[in-house]
Amino acid sequence: MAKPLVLYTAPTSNGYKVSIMLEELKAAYGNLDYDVEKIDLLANVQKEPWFIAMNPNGRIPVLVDRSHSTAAQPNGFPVFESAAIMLYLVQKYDKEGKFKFESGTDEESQMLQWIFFAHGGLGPMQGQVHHFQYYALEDVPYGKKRYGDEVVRLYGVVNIGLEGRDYLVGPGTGKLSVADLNIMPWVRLHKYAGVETLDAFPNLKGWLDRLLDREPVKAGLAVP
Amino acid sequence: MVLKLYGYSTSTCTLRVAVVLKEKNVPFEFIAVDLTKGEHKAPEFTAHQPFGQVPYIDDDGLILYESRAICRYIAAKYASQGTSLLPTDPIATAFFEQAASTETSNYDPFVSGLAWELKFCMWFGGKTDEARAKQLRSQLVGKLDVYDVILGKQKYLAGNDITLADLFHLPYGEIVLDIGIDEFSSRPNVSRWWKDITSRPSWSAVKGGI
Repeated sequence: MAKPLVLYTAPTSNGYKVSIMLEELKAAYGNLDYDVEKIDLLANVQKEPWFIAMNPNGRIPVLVDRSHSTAAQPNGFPVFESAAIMLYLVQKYDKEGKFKFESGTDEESQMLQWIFFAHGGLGPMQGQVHHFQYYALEDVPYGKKRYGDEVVRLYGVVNIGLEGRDYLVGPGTGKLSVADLNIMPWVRLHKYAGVETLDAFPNLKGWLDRLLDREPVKAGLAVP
Repeated sequence: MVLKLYGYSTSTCTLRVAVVLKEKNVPFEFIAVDLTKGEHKAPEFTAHQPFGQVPYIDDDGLILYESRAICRYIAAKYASQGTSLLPTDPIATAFFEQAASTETSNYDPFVSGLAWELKFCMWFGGKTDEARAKQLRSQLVGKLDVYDVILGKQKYLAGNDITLADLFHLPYGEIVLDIGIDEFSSRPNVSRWWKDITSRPSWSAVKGGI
């Protein structure tokens, strides 16, 4: 276990965002490698004190950069929040800017706009659909409807963003960036969120198929 | 030639080496040394282990004693197979040595002392020194309180990955529990860590004796 990065993760959308990002960077540059520690969420390992020491929020994914220790974090610099992890990774490893945009440009702003959209909107809202559909201890029809309808609306938003484009941000039809990878793993679970097909969102459907066809995406979806 | 482990089937230090051999998937031949017959003090033995103690290994002619040194040798030689138990980069190595030293200074004297007073001395016709046992236990309690703080911040003693330092605790920890001294369960982080290292298949394979 001497790789410079270690990813504490589980088979969830937010975990996959990071493993896919790592695999894309690995395929593009070959300049990073990472260990994987699968966290047993049912056993609440992510709430154990040693895990809280890395991420006080006690959730996965957490990336630890072993090559960068501090006195406060001698085991390596921990990064939590999937979008923050992806931005950390492209900042450090995407030197040619294949998955991000030049600092201070309009494209960089657009990438951040879509990242925050996913972070404050799609992720939490679809997460709540899953909660009320599969995990809530009582049946709450109001919750299911509120969040279910919101997810449909949010898919429509991404569909608009993809109009005439292959990817959300970038000149021409765009290029694959953190903006796309931060959203895709959630859209991938559309059936689970009650959206049986993406036929009503043709741009979104084409974009999802395009992304799922990528080898690094397939590799990332196999982690852990 | 397969590695030869000379030791006593249930001896703590012999088991310390055995658990590491198992963890690293290193095949070995166990050669029993009969301590009850004083085999370990005979010249044929002390020629290889001058202190007359078990274990020692003969790895294709290389003779090595001191269980923790043997463990480090095995972990380094077989770095590419089995579980990684010894880091290579300087900072991680420093934290490993800190943890390994913690075991020798802040754990071993107390658990081995308790094991002697409450179990082994009787085998040699001795009697438990109750005052010493009481003092050792209270010292152990203080040390494990610190372990609980350390293990509340990280998963294992050297960091978030297991190393030899964690495994070194197994043999005497098991004996001390066996004689009825449980200072692990009441400390949540120590308890979590103890459960983790004792549930490894490598330990299950050897803890009852080789």
